Amino acid sequence: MSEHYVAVGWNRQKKLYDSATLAGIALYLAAFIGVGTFVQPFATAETLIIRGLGTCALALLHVILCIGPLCRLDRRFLPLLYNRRHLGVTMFFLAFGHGAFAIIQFHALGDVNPLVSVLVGETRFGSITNFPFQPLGLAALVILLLMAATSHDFWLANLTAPVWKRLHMAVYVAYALLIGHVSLGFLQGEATTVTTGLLALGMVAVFGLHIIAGLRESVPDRPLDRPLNDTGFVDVGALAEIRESCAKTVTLAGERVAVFRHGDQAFAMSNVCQHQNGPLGEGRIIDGCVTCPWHGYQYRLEDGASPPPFTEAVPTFETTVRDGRVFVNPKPRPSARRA
Amino acid sequence: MIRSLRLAHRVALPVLGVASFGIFAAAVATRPQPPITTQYPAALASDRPNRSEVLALGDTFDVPGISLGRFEENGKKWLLIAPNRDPGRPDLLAYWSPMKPAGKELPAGVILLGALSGAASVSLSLPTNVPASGGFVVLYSPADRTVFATAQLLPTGR
Repeated sequence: MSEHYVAVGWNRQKKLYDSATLAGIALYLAAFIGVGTFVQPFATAETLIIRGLGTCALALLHVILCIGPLCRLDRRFLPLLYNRRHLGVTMFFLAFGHGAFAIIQFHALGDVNPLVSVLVGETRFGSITNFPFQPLGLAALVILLLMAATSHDFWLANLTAPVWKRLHMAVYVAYALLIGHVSLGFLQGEATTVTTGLLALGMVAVFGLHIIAGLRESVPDRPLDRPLNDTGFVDVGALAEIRESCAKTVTLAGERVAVFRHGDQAFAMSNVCQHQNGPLGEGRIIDGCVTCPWHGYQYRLEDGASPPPFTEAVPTFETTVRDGRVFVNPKPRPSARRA
Repeated sequence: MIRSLRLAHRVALPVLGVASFGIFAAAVATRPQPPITTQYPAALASDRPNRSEVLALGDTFDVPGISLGRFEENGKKWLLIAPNRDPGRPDLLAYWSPMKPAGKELPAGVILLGALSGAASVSLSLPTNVPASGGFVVLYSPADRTVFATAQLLPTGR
Protein backbone atom coordinates (compact mmCIF):
# COMPACT_ATOMS: atom_id res chain seq x y z
CA MET A 1 0.00 0.00 0.00
CA SER A 2 1.57 3.28 -1.06
CA GLU A 3 0.34 6.86 -0.95
CA HIS A 4 2.31 7.97 -4.02
CA TYR A 5 3.72 6.42 -7.17
CA VAL A 6 7.14 4.84 -7.06
CA ALA A 7 8.72 2.65 -9.73
CA VAL A 8 8.64 -0.36 -7.40
CA GLY A 9 7.69 -0.21 -3.76
CA TRP A 10 10.45 -2.58 -2.70
CA ASN A 11 10.13 -4.47 0.53
CA ARG A 12 11.68 -7.67 1.87
CA GLN A 13 8.99 -9.94 0.44
CA LYS A 14 9.31 -8.47 -3.04
CA LYS A 15 13.09 -8.75 -2.95
CA LEU A 16 12.88 -12.38 -1.85
CA TYR A 17 10.22 -13.13 -4.44
CA ASP A 18 12.16 -11.56 -7.30
CA SER A 19 15.47 -13.07 -6.21
CA ALA A 20 13.94 -16.55 -6.14
CA THR A 21 12.34 -15.97 -9.54
CA LEU A 22 15.55 -14.76 -11.18
CA ALA A 23 17.59 -17.54 -9.60
CA GLY A 24 15.10 -20.14 -10.83
CA ILE A 25 15.17 -18.71 -14.35
CA ALA A 26 18.99 -18.59 -14.41
CA LEU A 27 19.18 -22.20 -13.20
CA TYR A 28 16.65 -23.34 -15.78
CA LEU A 29 18.42 -21.62 -18.67
CA ALA A 30 21.83 -22.88 -17.55
CA ALA A 31 20.50 -26.43 -17.25
CA PHE A 32 18.65 -26.26 -20.57
CA ILE A 33 21.61 -24.92 -22.52
CA GLY A 34 24.13 -27.07 -20.65
CA VAL A 35 22.23 -30.31 -21.12
CA GLY A 36 21.24 -29.31 -24.65
CA THR A 37 24.89 -28.90 -25.60
CA PHE A 38 25.47 -32.57 -24.80
CA VAL A 39 22.15 -34.04 -25.93
CA GLN A 40 22.09 -32.05 -29.17
CA PRO A 41 25.76 -31.40 -29.90
CA PHE A 42 25.00 -29.99 -33.33
CA ALA A 43 22.40 -27.50 -32.18
CA THR A 44 23.79 -24.00 -32.53
CA ALA A 45 24.04 -21.65 -29.56
CA GLU A 46 21.30 -19.50 -31.11
CA THR A 47 18.98 -22.50 -31.37
CA LEU A 48 19.55 -23.45 -27.73
CA ILE A 49 18.95 -19.87 -26.60
CA ILE A 50 15.74 -19.60 -28.64
CA ARG A 51 14.44 -22.88 -27.25
CA GLY A 52 15.59 -22.17 -23.71
CA LEU A 53 13.92 -18.75 -23.57
CA GLY A 54 10.75 -20.04 -25.23
CA THR A 55 10.29 -23.03 -22.94
CA CYS A 56 11.15 -20.95 -19.87
CA ALA A 57 8.58 -18.29 -20.80
CA LEU A 58 5.91 -20.92 -21.46
CA ALA A 59 6.61 -22.74 -18.19
CA LEU A 60 6.49 -19.44 -16.29
CA LEU A 61 3.21 -18.50 -17.97
CA HIS A 62 1.72 -21.78 -16.74
CA VAL A 63 2.87 -21.01 -13.21
CA ILE A 64 1.42 -17.48 -13.41
CA LEU A 65 -1.92 -18.70 -14.71
CA CYS A 66 -2.20 -21.37 -12.03
CA ILE A 67 -1.51 -18.99 -9.13
CA GLY A 68 -4.93 -17.26 -9.33
CA PRO A 69 -7.15 -20.34 -9.11
CA LEU A 70 -4.81 -22.03 -6.61
CA CYS A 71 -5.27 -19.04 -4.30
CA ARG A 72 -9.04 -19.36 -4.66
CA LEU A 73 -8.82 -23.03 -3.72
CA ASP A 74 -6.19 -22.82 -0.96
CA ARG A 75 -5.10 -19.72 0.94
CA ARG A 76 -1.59 -21.11 1.41
CA PHE A 77 -0.82 -20.07 -2.16
CA LEU A 78 -1.55 -16.39 -1.43
CA PRO A 79 2.15 -15.45 -0.99
CA LEU A 80 2.69 -16.42 -4.63
CA LEU A 81 0.02 -13.96 -5.71
CA TYR A 82 1.58 -11.05 -3.83
CA ASN A 83 4.15 -10.20 -6.51
CA ARG A 84 2.62 -11.97 -9.50
CA ARG A 85 2.94 -8.88 -11.70
CA HIS A 86 6.73 -9.09 -11.49
CA LEU A 87 6.46 -12.69 -12.67
CA GLY A 88 4.35 -11.52 -15.58
CA VAL A 89 6.78 -8.81 -16.64
CA THR A 90 9.70 -11.24 -16.31
CA MET A 91 7.84 -13.75 -18.44
CA PHE A 92 7.26 -11.09 -21.10
CA PHE A 93 10.99 -10.34 -21.31
CA LEU A 94 11.74 -14.06 -21.70
CA ALA A 95 9.13 -14.34 -24.45
CA PHE A 96 10.47 -11.18 -26.08
CA GLY A 97 13.99 -12.63 -26.06
CA HIS A 98 12.68 -15.83 -27.65
CA GLY A 99 10.84 -13.87 -30.33
CA ALA A 100 13.71 -11.47 -31.01
CA PHE A 101 16.30 -14.24 -31.38
CA ALA A 102 13.96 -16.28 -33.56
CA ILE A 103 13.19 -13.34 -35.85
CA ILE A 104 16.88 -12.50 -36.19
CA GLN A 105 17.77 -16.15 -36.81
CA PHE A 106 15.04 -16.98 -39.31
CA HIS A 107 13.86 -13.70 -40.84
CA ALA A 108 16.54 -11.01 -40.62
CA LEU A 109 18.80 -12.06 -43.48
CA GLY A 110 16.32 -11.76 -46.34
CA ASP A 111 15.26 -8.74 -48.37
CA VAL A 112 11.89 -8.42 -46.59
CA ASN A 113 11.28 -6.58 -43.34
CA PRO A 114 11.69 -9.27 -40.65
CA LEU A 115 8.29 -8.56 -39.07
CA VAL A 116 6.62 -8.66 -42.49
CA SER A 117 8.48 -11.89 -43.14
CA VAL A 118 7.00 -13.41 -39.98
CA LEU A 119 3.52 -12.52 -41.20
CA VAL A 120 3.83 -13.55 -44.85
CA GLY A 121 6.59 -16.16 -44.79
CA GLU A 122 4.14 -19.03 -44.54
CA THR A 123 0.60 -18.83 -45.87
CA ARG A 124 -0.64 -22.40 -45.90
CA PHE A 125 -3.61 -21.68 -43.65
CA GLY A 126 -5.41 -24.80 -44.87
CA SER A 127 -2.74 -27.11 -43.54
CA ILE A 128 -2.28 -28.11 -39.91
CA THR A 129 1.29 -29.33 -40.31
CA ASN A 130 2.38 -26.25 -42.28
CA PHE A 131 0.09 -23.71 -40.64
CA PRO A 132 1.79 -20.30 -40.16
CA PHE A 133 2.40 -20.69 -36.43
CA GLN A 134 4.79 -17.77 -36.02
CA PRO A 135 2.14 -15.03 -36.38
CA LEU A 136 0.28 -16.71 -33.49
CA GLY A 137 3.34 -16.25 -31.30
CA LEU A 138 3.74 -12.66 -32.48
CA ALA A 139 0.10 -11.88 -31.63
CA ALA A 140 0.56 -13.38 -28.16
CA LEU A 141 3.72 -11.31 -27.70
CA VAL A 142 1.83 -8.11 -28.57
CA ILE A 143 -0.78 -8.92 -25.89
CA LEU A 144 1.94 -9.70 -23.35
CA LEU A 145 3.68 -6.42 -24.22
CA LEU A 146 0.46 -4.50 -23.64
CA MET A 147 0.01 -6.17 -20.29
CA ALA A 148 3.63 -5.70 -19.18
CA ALA A 149 3.53 -2.03 -20.21
CA THR A 150 0.38 -1.39 -18.16
CA SER A 151 1.27 -3.54 -15.18
CA HIS A 152 2.30 -0.68 -12.88
CA ASP A 153 -0.04 0.71 -10.24
CA PHE A 154 0.00 3.99 -12.18
CA TRP A 155 -2.06 2.35 -14.93
CA LEU A 156 -4.11 0.40 -12.43
CA ALA A 157 -5.16 3.61 -10.68
CA ASN A 158 -5.76 5.61 -13.86
CA LEU A 159 -7.51 2.96 -15.89
CA THR A 160 -9.47 1.86 -12.77
CA ALA A 161 -9.30 -1.70 -11.55
CA PRO A 162 -12.24 -3.10 -13.58
CA VAL A 163 -10.83 -1.74 -16.88
CA TRP A 164 -7.33 -2.86 -15.93
CA LYS A 165 -8.62 -6.32 -15.01
CA ARG A 166 -10.54 -6.54 -18.28
CA LEU A 167 -7.40 -5.65 -20.20
CA HIS A 168 -5.30 -8.17 -18.30
CA MET A 169 -7.81 -10.95 -18.85
CA ALA A 170 -6.44 -10.93 -22.41
CA VAL A 171 -3.70 -13.15 -20.99
CA TYR A 172 -6.05 -16.09 -21.55
CA VAL A 173 -6.28 -15.22 -25.24
CA ALA A 174 -2.48 -14.95 -25.32
CA TYR A 175 -2.23 -18.37 -23.69
CA ALA A 176 -4.56 -19.95 -26.26
CA LEU A 177 -2.53 -18.31 -29.06
CA LEU A 178 0.65 -19.75 -27.56
CA ILE A 179 -0.89 -23.23 -27.39
CA GLY A 180 -1.56 -22.85 -31.12
CA HIS A 181 1.96 -21.48 -31.68
CA VAL A 182 3.58 -24.47 -29.97
CA SER A 183 1.17 -27.14 -31.23
CA LEU A 184 1.38 -26.03 -34.85
CA GLY A 185 5.07 -25.24 -34.70
CA PHE A 186 7.31 -27.19 -32.37
CA LEU A 187 5.01 -30.20 -32.07
CA GLN A 188 5.07 -30.65 -35.84
CA GLY A 189 8.84 -31.06 -35.83
CA GLU A 190 11.11 -32.34 -33.17
CA ALA A 191 8.73 -32.78 -30.23
CA THR A 192 9.01 -35.99 -28.23
CA THR A 193 6.37 -37.83 -26.26
CA VAL A 194 7.71 -36.17 -23.12
CA THR A 195 7.47 -32.59 -24.42
CA THR A 196 4.04 -33.26 -25.91
CA GLY A 197 2.89 -34.78 -22.63
CA LEU A 198 4.23 -31.84 -20.62
CA LEU A 199 2.28 -29.38 -22.75
CA ALA A 200 -0.89 -31.44 -22.35
CA LEU A 201 -0.32 -31.60 -18.60
CA GLY A 202 0.15 -27.82 -18.45
CA MET A 203 -3.08 -27.23 -20.35
CA VAL A 204 -5.00 -29.58 -18.07
CA ALA A 205 -3.58 -27.77 -15.03
CA VAL A 206 -4.39 -24.27 -16.29
CA PHE A 207 -7.87 -24.90 -17.64
CA GLY A 208 -8.76 -27.49 -15.01
CA LEU A 209 -7.84 -25.26 -12.07
CA HIS A 210 -9.64 -22.27 -13.57
CA ILE A 211 -12.80 -24.24 -14.23
CA ILE A 212 -12.79 -25.84 -10.76
CA ALA A 213 -12.17 -22.48 -9.07
CA GLY A 214 -14.85 -20.88 -11.25
CA LEU A 215 -17.42 -23.49 -10.28
CA ARG A 216 -16.60 -22.99 -6.63
CA GLU A 217 -16.93 -19.24 -6.98
CA SER A 218 -20.29 -19.55 -8.68
CA VAL A 219 -22.00 -20.47 -5.39
CA PRO A 220 -21.41 -17.16 -3.55
CA ASP A 221 -22.17 -15.30 -6.79
CA ARG A 222 -25.80 -16.36 -6.62
CA PRO A 223 -27.94 -13.40 -5.52
CA LEU A 224 -29.29 -13.74 -2.00
CA ASP A 225 -32.88 -14.61 -2.70
CA ARG A 226 -34.44 -13.31 0.50
CA PRO A 227 -37.15 -10.70 0.93
CA LEU A 228 -36.46 -7.33 2.48
CA ASN A 229 -37.82 -6.91 5.98
CA ASP A 230 -40.05 -4.04 7.03
CA THR A 231 -37.10 -1.65 7.19
CA GLY A 232 -35.74 -2.60 3.74
CA PHE A 233 -32.91 -4.73 5.10
CA VAL A 234 -31.96 -8.27 4.04
CA ASP A 235 -31.33 -11.10 6.49
CA VAL A 236 -27.87 -12.42 5.53
CA GLY A 237 -27.59 -15.04 8.29
CA ALA A 238 -26.64 -15.54 11.91
CA LEU A 239 -23.84 -13.49 13.44
CA ALA A 240 -22.58 -16.64 15.17
CA GLU A 241 -21.74 -18.29 11.84
CA ILE A 242 -19.18 -15.54 11.07
CA ARG A 243 -15.76 -16.05 12.67
CA GLU A 244 -14.42 -13.16 14.75
CA SER A 245 -12.60 -10.55 12.62
CA CYS A 246 -13.56 -12.45 9.47
CA ALA A 247 -16.37 -12.10 6.96
CA LYS A 248 -19.16 -13.88 5.23
CA THR A 249 -19.62 -12.96 1.56
CA VAL A 250 -23.09 -12.56 0.06
CA THR A 251 -24.33 -11.17 -3.24
CA LEU A 252 -26.60 -8.17 -2.88
CA ALA A 253 -27.81 -5.79 -5.58
CA GLY A 254 -25.64 -7.46 -8.21
CA GLU A 255 -22.29 -7.46 -6.43
CA ARG A 256 -20.59 -9.24 -3.56
CA VAL A 257 -20.74 -7.69 -0.11
CA ALA A 258 -18.42 -8.73 2.72
CA VAL A 259 -20.15 -8.86 6.11
CA PHE A 260 -17.54 -8.70 8.88
CA ARG A 261 -17.96 -9.62 12.51
CA HIS A 262 -16.19 -7.42 15.06
CA GLY A 263 -17.21 -8.53 18.56
CA ASP A 264 -20.98 -8.33 18.79
CA GLN A 265 -21.22 -5.97 15.85
CA ALA A 266 -21.47 -6.57 12.11
CA PHE A 267 -20.08 -4.31 9.38
CA ALA A 268 -20.72 -4.65 5.66
CA MET A 269 -18.66 -3.26 2.80
CA SER A 270 -18.07 -4.02 -0.85
CA ASN A 271 -16.10 -7.21 -1.32
CA VAL A 272 -14.04 -5.52 -4.05
CA CYS A 273 -10.73 -3.95 -3.06
CA GLN A 274 -10.02 -0.66 -4.83
CA HIS A 275 -6.48 -1.70 -5.66
CA GLN A 276 -6.79 -4.82 -7.80
CA ASN A 277 -10.38 -5.80 -7.00
CA GLY A 278 -9.13 -8.40 -4.54
CA PRO A 279 -11.66 -10.24 -2.31
CA LEU A 280 -11.89 -8.19 0.88
CA GLY A 281 -14.24 -10.80 2.35
CA GLU A 282 -11.33 -13.22 2.47
CA GLY A 283 -9.27 -10.75 4.45
CA ARG A 284 -9.29 -10.05 8.18
CA ILE A 285 -9.82 -7.12 10.50
CA ILE A 286 -6.39 -5.88 11.59
CA ASP A 287 -6.02 -2.74 13.75
CA GLY A 288 -9.69 -1.97 13.23
CA CYS A 289 -9.35 -2.06 9.44
CA VAL A 290 -10.39 -4.65 6.92
CA THR A 291 -7.17 -5.83 5.28
CA CYS A 292 -7.13 -7.18 1.72
CA PRO A 293 -5.52 -10.63 1.53
CA TRP A 294 -3.81 -9.84 -1.77
CA HIS A 295 -1.66 -6.78 -1.10
CA GLY A 296 -2.64 -5.54 2.35
CA TYR A 297 -4.78 -2.53 1.36
CA GLN A 298 -6.82 -1.43 4.40
CA TYR A 299 -10.27 0.10 4.87
CA ARG A 300 -11.87 1.35 8.06
CA LEU A 301 -14.87 -0.65 9.22
CA GLU A 302 -17.12 2.30 9.93
CA ASP A 303 -16.83 4.24 6.64
CA GLY A 304 -14.79 2.10 4.19
CA ALA A 305 -12.08 4.75 3.84
CA SER A 306 -8.42 3.87 3.97
CA PRO A 307 -6.64 5.29 7.04
CA PRO A 308 -4.76 8.55 6.37
CA PRO A 309 -2.68 9.37 4.42
CA PHE A 310 -4.18 6.88 1.97
CA THR A 311 -7.16 7.93 -0.10
CA GLU A 312 -8.83 4.73 -1.28
CA ALA A 313 -12.38 3.96 -0.20
CA VAL A 314 -14.95 1.23 -0.76
CA PRO A 315 -18.74 1.45 -0.40
CA THR A 316 -20.19 0.40 2.94
CA PHE A 317 -23.65 -0.82 3.86
CA GLU A 318 -25.79 -0.15 6.90
CA THR A 319 -26.20 -3.19 9.16
CA THR A 320 -28.16 -4.15 12.25
CA VAL A 321 -28.03 -7.23 14.47
CA ARG A 322 -31.36 -8.39 15.80
CA ASP A 323 -31.95 -11.64 17.70
CA GLY A 324 -28.52 -12.85 16.70
CA ARG A 325 -29.16 -12.35 12.99
CA VAL A 326 -27.44 -9.85 10.71
CA PHE A 327 -29.50 -7.55 8.49
CA VAL A 328 -27.89 -5.50 5.70
CA ASN A 329 -29.34 -2.61 3.72
CA PRO A 330 -28.63 -3.52 0.07
CA LYS A 331 -28.31 0.18 -0.82
CA PRO A 332 -24.74 1.40 -0.17
CA ARG A 333 -24.10 4.44 1.96
CA PRO A 334 -22.90 7.60 0.21
CA SER A 335 -19.24 7.33 -0.77
CA ALA A 336 -16.66 7.91 1.96
CA ARG A 337 -14.01 9.04 -0.53
CA ARG A 338 -12.21 12.12 0.69
CA ALA A 339 -11.45 15.08 -1.51
CA MET B 1 -12.65 -9.19 -9.30
CA ILE B 2 -16.06 -7.72 -9.88
CA ARG B 3 -18.95 -10.08 -10.51
CA SER B 4 -19.43 -9.25 -14.20
CA LEU B 5 -15.79 -10.07 -14.91
CA ARG B 6 -16.06 -13.30 -12.94
CA LEU B 7 -19.05 -14.32 -15.01
CA ALA B 8 -17.18 -13.48 -18.23
CA HIS B 9 -14.17 -15.43 -16.96
CA ARG B 10 -16.39 -18.39 -16.15
CA VAL B 11 -17.66 -18.50 -19.74
CA ALA B 12 -14.42 -17.58 -21.52
CA LEU B 13 -12.13 -20.16 -19.90
CA PRO B 14 -14.08 -23.28 -20.91
CA VAL B 15 -14.46 -21.89 -24.45
CA LEU B 16 -10.73 -21.16 -24.74
CA GLY B 17 -9.97 -24.52 -23.15
CA VAL B 18 -12.03 -26.43 -25.69
CA ALA B 19 -10.46 -24.44 -28.54
CA SER B 20 -6.94 -24.97 -27.21
CA PHE B 21 -7.40 -28.70 -26.67
CA GLY B 22 -8.97 -28.97 -30.13
CA ILE B 23 -5.96 -27.32 -31.76
CA PHE B 24 -3.57 -29.40 -29.67
CA ALA B 25 -5.35 -32.69 -30.48
CA ALA B 26 -5.52 -31.89 -34.20
CA ALA B 27 -1.85 -30.93 -34.24
CA VAL B 28 -0.79 -34.13 -32.49
CA ALA B 29 -3.05 -36.31 -34.64
CA THR B 30 -1.79 -34.93 -37.94
CA ARG B 31 1.85 -34.32 -37.23
CA PRO B 32 4.17 -36.14 -39.58
CA GLN B 33 5.95 -39.16 -38.12
CA PRO B 34 9.69 -39.43 -38.60
CA PRO B 35 10.25 -41.67 -41.65
CA ILE B 36 11.95 -44.98 -40.93
CA THR B 37 13.87 -46.46 -43.84
CA THR B 38 13.00 -50.07 -44.49
CA GLN B 39 13.92 -50.30 -48.14
CA TYR B 40 15.73 -48.38 -50.78
CA PRO B 41 13.94 -45.57 -52.57
CA ALA B 42 12.75 -46.31 -56.06
CA ALA B 43 15.01 -43.57 -57.36
CA LEU B 44 17.97 -45.68 -56.38
CA ALA B 45 16.61 -48.86 -57.90
CA SER B 46 19.26 -48.77 -60.59
CA ASP B 47 21.85 -49.18 -57.90
CA ARG B 48 20.05 -52.37 -56.87
CA PRO B 49 21.82 -52.56 -53.55
CA ASN B 50 20.20 -55.66 -52.12
CA ARG B 51 20.37 -55.21 -48.38
CA SER B 52 21.68 -58.70 -47.77
CA GLU B 53 24.61 -57.97 -50.00
CA VAL B 54 25.62 -54.91 -48.07
CA LEU B 55 28.54 -55.57 -45.83
CA ALA B 56 28.14 -54.30 -42.32
CA LEU B 57 31.78 -53.90 -41.55
CA GLY B 58 31.54 -52.17 -38.23
CA ASP B 59 32.00 -48.77 -39.80
CA THR B 60 29.97 -46.45 -37.63
CA PHE B 61 29.42 -42.74 -37.52
CA ASP B 62 30.21 -40.90 -34.34
CA VAL B 63 26.58 -39.78 -34.06
CA PRO B 64 23.86 -42.36 -33.37
CA GLY B 65 21.19 -43.28 -35.86
CA ILE B 66 23.12 -43.42 -39.14
CA SER B 67 24.26 -46.79 -40.48
CA LEU B 68 27.10 -47.18 -42.91
CA GLY B 69 27.74 -50.14 -45.16
CA ARG B 70 29.85 -51.00 -48.17
CA PHE B 71 29.32 -53.23 -51.18
CA GLU B 72 30.68 -53.81 -54.65
CA GLU B 73 28.65 -54.06 -57.80
CA ASN B 74 29.53 -53.95 -61.48
CA GLY B 75 33.14 -53.50 -60.51
CA LYS B 76 32.41 -50.36 -58.56
CA LYS B 77 32.74 -49.79 -54.85
CA TRP B 78 29.73 -48.30 -53.11
CA LEU B 79 28.93 -46.80 -49.78
CA LEU B 80 25.46 -47.16 -48.28
CA ILE B 81 24.48 -44.46 -45.83
CA ALA B 82 21.19 -45.25 -44.11
CA PRO B 83 19.84 -42.86 -41.45
CA ASN B 84 17.16 -44.46 -39.30
CA ARG B 85 15.66 -41.01 -38.75
CA ASP B 86 15.96 -37.56 -40.24
CA PRO B 87 19.30 -36.18 -39.05
CA GLY B 88 17.74 -32.72 -38.87
CA ARG B 89 20.18 -31.24 -41.38
CA PRO B 90 18.68 -30.77 -44.84
CA ASP B 91 21.96 -29.99 -46.55
CA LEU B 92 24.33 -32.77 -45.55
CA LEU B 93 27.03 -33.64 -48.06
CA ALA B 94 29.09 -36.84 -47.84
CA TYR B 95 32.84 -36.64 -48.44
CA TRP B 96 35.64 -39.18 -48.46
CA SER B 97 38.54 -37.82 -46.47
CA PRO B 98 42.09 -39.20 -46.14
CA MET B 99 42.26 -38.02 -42.55
CA LYS B 100 39.95 -37.48 -39.61
CA PRO B 101 38.63 -33.90 -39.35
CA ALA B 102 40.27 -32.12 -36.45
CA GLY B 103 37.44 -29.71 -35.80
CA LYS B 104 34.48 -28.29 -37.67
CA GLU B 105 36.37 -27.75 -40.94
CA LEU B 106 36.81 -30.25 -43.74
CA PRO B 107 40.38 -31.53 -44.02
CA ALA B 108 42.42 -30.97 -47.17
CA GLY B 109 42.13 -33.55 -49.91
CA VAL B 110 38.47 -34.48 -49.38
CA ILE B 111 36.46 -35.88 -52.29
CA LEU B 112 32.75 -35.13 -52.64
CA LEU B 113 30.69 -38.32 -52.86
CA GLY B 114 27.14 -36.94 -52.92
CA ALA B 115 24.28 -35.55 -50.86
CA LEU B 116 22.05 -37.07 -48.21
CA SER B 117 18.31 -36.60 -48.39
CA GLY B 118 16.57 -36.52 -45.04
CA ALA B 119 15.96 -40.00 -43.69
CA ALA B 120 16.34 -41.70 -47.08
CA SER B 121 19.14 -44.21 -47.56
CA VAL B 122 21.58 -43.33 -50.29
CA SER B 123 24.14 -45.33 -52.18
CA LEU B 124 27.20 -43.36 -53.21
CA SER B 125 29.91 -44.73 -55.46
CA LEU B 126 33.47 -44.34 -54.35
CA PRO B 127 35.83 -42.87 -56.93
CA THR B 128 38.40 -45.27 -58.33
CA ASN B 129 41.28 -43.39 -56.80
CA VAL B 130 39.91 -44.01 -53.30
CA PRO B 131 41.34 -47.07 -51.54
CA ALA B 132 38.97 -49.90 -50.70
CA SER B 133 39.45 -49.33 -47.04
CA GLY B 134 41.03 -46.67 -44.98
CA GLY B 135 40.15 -43.04 -44.81
CA PHE B 136 36.99 -41.52 -43.44
CA VAL B 137 33.48 -40.69 -44.54
CA VAL B 138 32.57 -37.20 -43.42
CA LEU B 139 29.06 -35.72 -43.37
CA TYR B 140 29.30 -31.94 -43.68
CA SER B 141 26.72 -29.17 -43.41
CA PRO B 142 27.66 -26.25 -45.70
CA ALA B 143 24.99 -24.01 -44.16
CA ASP B 144 26.40 -24.40 -40.67
CA ARG B 145 29.94 -24.80 -41.97
CA THR B 146 30.48 -27.71 -39.65
CA VAL B 147 31.30 -31.38 -39.76
CA PHE B 148 28.16 -33.22 -38.70
CA ALA B 149 29.49 -36.78 -38.39
CA THR B 150 32.54 -38.85 -39.19
CA ALA B 151 33.02 -42.59 -39.75
CA GLN B 152 36.28 -44.41 -40.24
CA LEU B 153 36.37 -46.89 -43.11
CA LEU B 154 37.86 -49.91 -41.42
CA PRO B 155 39.79 -52.54 -43.34
CA THR B 156 37.62 -55.28 -44.83
CA GLY B 157 37.05 -58.24 -42.53
CA ARG B 158 36.93 -56.42 -39.26
